[in-house]
Amino acid sequence: MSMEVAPILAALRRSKIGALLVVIQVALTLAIISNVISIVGERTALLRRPTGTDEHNLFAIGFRLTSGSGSKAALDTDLSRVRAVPGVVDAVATNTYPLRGSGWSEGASLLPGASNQRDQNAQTAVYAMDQHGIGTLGLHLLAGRNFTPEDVLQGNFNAGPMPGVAIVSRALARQLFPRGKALGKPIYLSSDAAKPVAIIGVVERLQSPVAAGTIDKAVSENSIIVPIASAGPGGLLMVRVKPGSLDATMPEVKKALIASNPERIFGRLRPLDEIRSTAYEKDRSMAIALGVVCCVLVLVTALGIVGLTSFWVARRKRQIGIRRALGATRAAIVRYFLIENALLCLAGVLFGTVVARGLNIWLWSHYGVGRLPAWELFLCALVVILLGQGAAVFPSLRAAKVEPTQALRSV
Amino acid sequence: MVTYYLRLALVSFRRNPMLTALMVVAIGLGVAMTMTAYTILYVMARDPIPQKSGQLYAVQLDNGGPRSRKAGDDEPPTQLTHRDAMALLASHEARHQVAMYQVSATVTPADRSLKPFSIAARATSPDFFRMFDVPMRYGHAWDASDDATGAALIVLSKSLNERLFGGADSVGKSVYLNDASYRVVGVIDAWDPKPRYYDVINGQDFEEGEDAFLPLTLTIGKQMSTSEYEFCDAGPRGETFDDLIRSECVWLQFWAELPTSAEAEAYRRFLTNYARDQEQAGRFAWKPNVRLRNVRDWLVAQKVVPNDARLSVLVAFSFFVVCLVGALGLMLAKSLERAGEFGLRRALGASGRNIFAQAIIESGVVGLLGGMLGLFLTVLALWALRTLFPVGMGRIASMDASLLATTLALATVATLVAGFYPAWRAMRIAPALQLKVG
Repeated sequence: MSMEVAPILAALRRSKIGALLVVIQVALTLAIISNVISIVGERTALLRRPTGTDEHNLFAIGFRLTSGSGSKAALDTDLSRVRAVPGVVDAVATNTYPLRGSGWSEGASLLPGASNQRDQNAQTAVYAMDQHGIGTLGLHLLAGRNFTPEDVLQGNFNAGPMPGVAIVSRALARQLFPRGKALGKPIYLSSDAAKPVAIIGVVERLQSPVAAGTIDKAVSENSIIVPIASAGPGGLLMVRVKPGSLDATMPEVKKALIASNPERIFGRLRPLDEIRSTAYEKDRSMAIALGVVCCVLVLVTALGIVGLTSFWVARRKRQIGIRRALGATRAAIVRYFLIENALLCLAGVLFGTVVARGLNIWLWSHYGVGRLPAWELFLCALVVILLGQGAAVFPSLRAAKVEPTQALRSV
Repeated sequence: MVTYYLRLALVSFRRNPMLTALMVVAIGLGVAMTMTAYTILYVMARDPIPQKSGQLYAVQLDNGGPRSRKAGDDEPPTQLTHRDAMALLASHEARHQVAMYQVSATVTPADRSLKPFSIAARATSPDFFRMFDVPMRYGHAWDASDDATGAALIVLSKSLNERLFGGADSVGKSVYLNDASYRVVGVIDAWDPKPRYYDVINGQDFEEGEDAFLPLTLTIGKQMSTSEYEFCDAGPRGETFDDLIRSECVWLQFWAELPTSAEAEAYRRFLTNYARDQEQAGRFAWKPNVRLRNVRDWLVAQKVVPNDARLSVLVAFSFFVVCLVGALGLMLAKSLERAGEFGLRRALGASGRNIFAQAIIESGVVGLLGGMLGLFLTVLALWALRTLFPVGMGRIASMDASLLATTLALATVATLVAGFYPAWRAMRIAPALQLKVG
């Protein structure tokens, strides 16, 4: 093997610049691709996080009265009509929903009277729903119980007073009570800091409305459900339908609400799937754009290697002819060019590993990109080498077709 | 002479179509990637009001103190309380000042066959239009005296005027908003600053603006609450609108126009003194903590240009560098392959400079072709982004004439730079050696 390598190195020394360019190209490609794939992986993981609800069978519908202010009776009528629509499993009036982008947030603390942020033990998103909330959103109650109609307080969204009970997400329970059980314990919310709110239930997962914009679990997974009902000039309903009947049921629900009170403007009916894709649009577009860059970069590098190798083959037609005349097999010629390419790619990959790590550290400190794991870098390096070899195959095969009589011809 | 070199370049392209095509494609792709990412960054990072961005200042006061924020955070809230906003307005310390917030309302068209619809309206004090150079199409804005009488006036956006009145002069006509009638005093012309620097609180900086404008005193009188954010970190909100007005909740945005740096300094001192007065009165228990940022600094502080936009340009440009390295390799290969041709030309009397010129002009032509391909691909990519992501990209991803010129210039210059070394190598070819090998 070493006998084959020495003449290859000697030949490369004569085309130093060209060899260097291939090495640089391979190195930069590795550095860029490994970091880009790392970013794409992060984004994809981000937009896969579940909300904790029955996403495929939920939709939101908002409305605003054109005149007057709403009433509890009107809202109750709306809800009973919606629940009577065939295909509807449950419906609830709420102040916001997961991934909406904005909502009500409060500080939660273990001691009364803490109205300053500094004194809070946790920040949480607040969902104001009655006992139908869990059934409508499809939340999984891990411990405790759901609300009863007696727990519900007629009040305001976005403000106190607070009811006496609440249900929290497991993430919030863990942050507030890291060692013990949260069930039964009182907490105090900042807008009504003297009132103890007892935790009567813990749900497995409920993402906050602003979850799409953050990787901070304390912001995305902390949620509390308070049984507050409010009737105002506007309203927001979440409706859960039987699996597969979303398209059929949505227009029927709208009809039922129009029949209940036509004097209002309805927002678009938004299935939670659509809400999710809008909320994560920026991350998805970034991931796709970076994926495209990766593929095109790979293509361009491959083309570059094909081009340069073809050129070297064309330049050394005479030498190839001489070797063939002296008895070298076609396979030996192919092997020559493939080994030459492998040496260059190896050098490029070694250099590229250093550049990739350096780029990753820079991206980590300036753009908050995560660290590049060694196995991922190794895998990318492998792929790049294979890519280089693959690109060199065609010119190498063309080299093998050179006839020995080339040695006798003048170029 | 140049046309001769251009003809030579064309001949050489025809003789090496694959190699030339590879180079053009590599340059084209690299340029397209870079310019697509750059266009998006450029639109997002552009100064939205260049003639005045150094004179308009966002005002921030700390009404909550360090305990109302996380440890180590000393940035005051981005909005003011009602009480502070009114106090600052009444002081008349700046050339112009404005306090404002956004409300949503229902418009019931006069034509009963049309359904009512929701609009977003900006509740603002009268100086808004003067300060932000809002062009008027018909009529005028209300002024301070109208404000004082509490008359129900409204200024429409161009699009709302088109929707309600077919774009005609609607001054004096009525618009039925929520439960009351408002008289139109003005209609603004097309006004679409990107980003909407005067209101970047709710993250919709590049989306369409408000449909109408209402006097601030009127909306507060009607107890219309904000459709954006109320932050009550500094104290409880209470239940009623009156509670809100008296509370330490912040929900009003405040800007001051301070044309000279002397006025800006004076205003900063005024703000600090105001905060100190509040401290002495016992309302604030901390040292004055104010901010006065002009438009540019404000946009930076509010992180209006997302990190992703910058990251994209970085990735795209690195990709372009790789493409250039590849193109350089190919150009080198090409120039070495034609060593015989160059040698022959030298022997026939061409000077080294002539060879260099020929090679460089060839690189330039490749660059120009690559640039045109890149331009086409960029336009395609921007169209694809607008179509696939209409919400995020629809109003951002579009090219203008200056970006077009930049694309072609970038491709040509970059290729010329990359082609410098191969051309220099071509120039250094010794003619005798080439003729001997044959």
